[in-house]
Amino acid sequence: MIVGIDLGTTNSAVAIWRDGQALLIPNSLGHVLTPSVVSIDETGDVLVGLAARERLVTHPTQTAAAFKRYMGTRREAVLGKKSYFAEDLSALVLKQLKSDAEAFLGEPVTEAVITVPAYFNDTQRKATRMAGQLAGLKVERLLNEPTAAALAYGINLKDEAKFLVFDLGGGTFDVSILELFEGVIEVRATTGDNRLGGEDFNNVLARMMVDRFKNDFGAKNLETPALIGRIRAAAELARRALSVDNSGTMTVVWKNKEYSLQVGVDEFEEAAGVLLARLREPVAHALRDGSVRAEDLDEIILVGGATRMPVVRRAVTKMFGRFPSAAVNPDEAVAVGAAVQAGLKARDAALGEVVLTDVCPYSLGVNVSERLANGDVRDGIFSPVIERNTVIPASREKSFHTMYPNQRSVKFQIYQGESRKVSDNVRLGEIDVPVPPAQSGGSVGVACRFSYDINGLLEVDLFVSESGERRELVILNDHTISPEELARRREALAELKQHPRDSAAARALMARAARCYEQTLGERREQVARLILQFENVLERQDPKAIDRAQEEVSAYLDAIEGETWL
Amino acid sequence: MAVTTSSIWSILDIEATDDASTIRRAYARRVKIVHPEDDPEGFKALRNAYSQALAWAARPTASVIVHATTPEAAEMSPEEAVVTLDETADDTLRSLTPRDPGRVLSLDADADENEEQDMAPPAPDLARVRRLEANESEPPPATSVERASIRTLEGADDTPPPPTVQRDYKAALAHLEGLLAAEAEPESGALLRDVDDALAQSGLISAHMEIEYRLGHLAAHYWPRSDPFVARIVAHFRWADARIDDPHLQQAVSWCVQRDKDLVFLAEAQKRGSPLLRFAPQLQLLRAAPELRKPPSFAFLKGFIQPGLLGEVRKLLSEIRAHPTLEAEFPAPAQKAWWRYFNNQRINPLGLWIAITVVGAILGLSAIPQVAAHPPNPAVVSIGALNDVATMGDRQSLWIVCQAHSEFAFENCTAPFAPPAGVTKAQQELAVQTTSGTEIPSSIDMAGYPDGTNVAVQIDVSHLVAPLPPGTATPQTPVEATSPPTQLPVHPVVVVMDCHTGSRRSPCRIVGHGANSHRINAKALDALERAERSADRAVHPR
Repeated sequence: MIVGIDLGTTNSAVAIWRDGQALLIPNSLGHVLTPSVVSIDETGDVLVGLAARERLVTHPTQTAAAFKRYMGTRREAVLGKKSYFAEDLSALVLKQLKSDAEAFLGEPVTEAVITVPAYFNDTQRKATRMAGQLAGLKVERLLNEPTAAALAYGINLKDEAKFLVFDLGGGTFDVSILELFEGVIEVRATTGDNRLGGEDFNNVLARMMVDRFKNDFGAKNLETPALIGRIRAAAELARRALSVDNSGTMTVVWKNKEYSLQVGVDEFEEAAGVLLARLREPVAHALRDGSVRAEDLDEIILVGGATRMPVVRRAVTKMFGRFPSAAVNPDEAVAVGAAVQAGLKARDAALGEVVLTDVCPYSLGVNVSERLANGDVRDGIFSPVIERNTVIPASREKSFHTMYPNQRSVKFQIYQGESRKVSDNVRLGEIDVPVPPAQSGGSVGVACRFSYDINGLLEVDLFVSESGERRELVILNDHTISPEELARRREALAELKQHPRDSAAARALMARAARCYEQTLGERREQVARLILQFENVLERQDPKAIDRAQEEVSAYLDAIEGETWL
Repeated sequence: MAVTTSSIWSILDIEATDDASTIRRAYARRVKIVHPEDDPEGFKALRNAYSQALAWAARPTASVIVHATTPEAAEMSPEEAVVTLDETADDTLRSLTPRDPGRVLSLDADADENEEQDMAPPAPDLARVRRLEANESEPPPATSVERASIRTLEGADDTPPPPTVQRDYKAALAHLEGLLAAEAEPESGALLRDVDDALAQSGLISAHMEIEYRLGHLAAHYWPRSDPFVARIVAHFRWADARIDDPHLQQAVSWCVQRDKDLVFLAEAQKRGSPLLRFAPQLQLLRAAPELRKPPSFAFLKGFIQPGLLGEVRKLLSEIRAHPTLEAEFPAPAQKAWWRYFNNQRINPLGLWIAITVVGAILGLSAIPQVAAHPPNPAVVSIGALNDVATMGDRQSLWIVCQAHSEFAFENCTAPFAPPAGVTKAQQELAVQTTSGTEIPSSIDMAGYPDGTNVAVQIDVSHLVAPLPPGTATPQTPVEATSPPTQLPVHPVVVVMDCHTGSRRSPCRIVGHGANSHRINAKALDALERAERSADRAVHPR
């Protein structure tokens, strides 16, 4: 069974294709969304999901969130005593999703389609694939998120359609233009900004809070994780409130004092103006690349939790002069699309006649030198071989020449990106080819062929016609680490015990109550403390019925003082 | 990949057709059999055929006329046919754009747009061709000549522009272009009114895209007239921190951003009374006064009398250099001459003597064949009104470009070449006419051209271009493929030759390079100075 996984910045979800439709799998709490948050508790065990998210406030130094933004970088998050790369933390989330799926399906899950932001570069994709491997999943396909969302939307359409997927997630922004005709779903263009997402909108609110109470908090305190965690949580709550109301309130309790800031919608919209303006360029770019006029689009599909924000919806409405489609659930569409892809992959009969073609979002090319007429050599020029937004799989060939008559080898360095200078692009690998001496002071030509396959696997073939020499380089979408290293890291993650499923709900509630305790003052705070004590007593008695009852009571009280839990 | 027209249709399994929807249906049918997952190679071929067939169907009807007369047309794949038309259109339009003669010259006839940091105002005619391709129904905003030529290309489609409600952004932009192109200096308030009217309607993404594109290109093309609104549009579209990697827009945007910065610099400097303010009179002089357009002829004497002024001019030149769009605003020949002047001053008599010795030594050594350094380049041209000398990417020919200008002594440009025996040449005025001849000219007749005309001379030096000396460190990176000699090069390299000034005469050396003539003036000066410096080092060994 192949599962489809949306590994998001804020939330993740897992779904399967079954009986001709996509089915989202609930986690142990009964939710289809699992917050992408990892926390290590006092005993060294790992918590993933809602319970971990609550601990962002109570145990900020042992909890990590939004690590997808650092995927593929060497940046480490320190949780407790150990430090983890983004792919390790993602692997822990994937393991949790895997076990949820296994519990639901009653069979082992070993293969997955995992979605990535379309604008993830090769390194970020490699890291995602690596996370899957670390979690014990064979990654059958990395699917671009907007493409997945489009699949979720387009799979039920019968007619021809052109639509734009506007995917603003927690940490990344993707725009894809797709065309559907005669059972072909074709991605026309994909662009984006992989450093823009809902988190940035939270940061805007957090910044307002900090600016307002800078002196009260003190500059030094503003660097402590505890305070930062609280401000972030308050900002997140306020953003949610702003999604339904005309104003939201950020409340932070710090050193037994309550700080409150009310933010109106207009105020928020103004503060977020820079971010909203950044939504435009990728859209324009995609329209240009896809040669599609905005008027010709049949629908604008909003995907990603951040598109629930009215300010974003308003910006989109203004941009296109019409309302975006409400046909898909912005939080679930990507996971659903991943499941559809899993079904396509398994050649499910219900999907037989649909073919999906995607594009490579980045240009791929080599480093060349230009010889200037005065004999100077300028190195580091990027010469694209496969241009961005080329339909994949694709092969392109370009010929290059040696620089000097006595040159005996040519080094091809492979890069990905759009800058004319290779130093601004992402280096993927290199390959040398020996060449024969040039005849009569000329140069030797080397034919360079790039083949980019459907899984993002790039193959470079070099052919020197004068000598018949051939070289081949396969740039795998895997980290170049040894199997031993992979096994070792997998082992290290396996040592982290995940909490049993049956206690997950109680644990999440406990974490929530602990957070509430920190975020309230006075009588309420004492009431929360009492509830925690009672709840602990009930848990110790291990009477399932009593535990259920107590859970309901505690949730009800917490809901009453801070509103229902959101995802 | 040689795909013939017939194989496109056989891969798609249909008869040749102009109907895009038939092609799409055929592709959709075939792609389910030639599935990208199961048969990647088959899919690639199918995809190739599909896009070529679509290009064929979408080809402008004019291309049929263009190629119907040639027997090769039948053999030509749709893609080739379309490309050829584009080139033709490009050239035609380009040659009809004499708006800014000093800067229009563009040696990269293939319209290579990817040169990094290309500060040149992109030729808007390209943009218009693109819009033609995109089949947009807007009226071509151009001079009457251009409009006529576009109409011709469109097949004399003279439909009126779509009716407009009030003054929409298209009208505002057209009006703006009219103001910019007019002979009279436009009033900045009027320009801003047009710009603001257009910007006010940029809410819709489609309008936003069009306005961004048009304003960017107008600003880049009509500077310095566009100065009053550059800051406005840079701020509106947030270009300063936008990451625009769309090649259609990138050049114009990066130019505007730089221009905006430079204008701010200028304004700041004037406000704060910075050193630049002290140059203000010289700035004006350098721009306008004929006496400063050329360095003093009795250099040492004037330098002695007025060292302060010369120092200031020198500082001014450096400041200008740090702000490329300001640099481009001043007459390049004047700047060039001034730099030459300052650089020459640095060679003291002792240095000269050492130089003579060293040159003598080299000449002596070069008698031993194995140690021969680069042979001197063949052409000797004086630098006066010489704009550019270029070698093509293949280094097979030199281009010399002179600009006709009544104020400059272009007897310099007609000054004697020292044609080595057997050098052939092709002389042509850029994109306008071709003259014949087999000998390198000893002079170029500039008399027949109006001021500002650029005249390009191509000299075939293929057999004179020496390979680099053996033993040079072997760089390991490949070099970009050069085009076949029969085509115009894709990446022409333009160079400026360092030749004699005034009465002093020296063999031409190639010292600078660039992508086109506009940029060359800036870049070449840099290279020129570098070359001078290294010459200094050569004569002052440490």
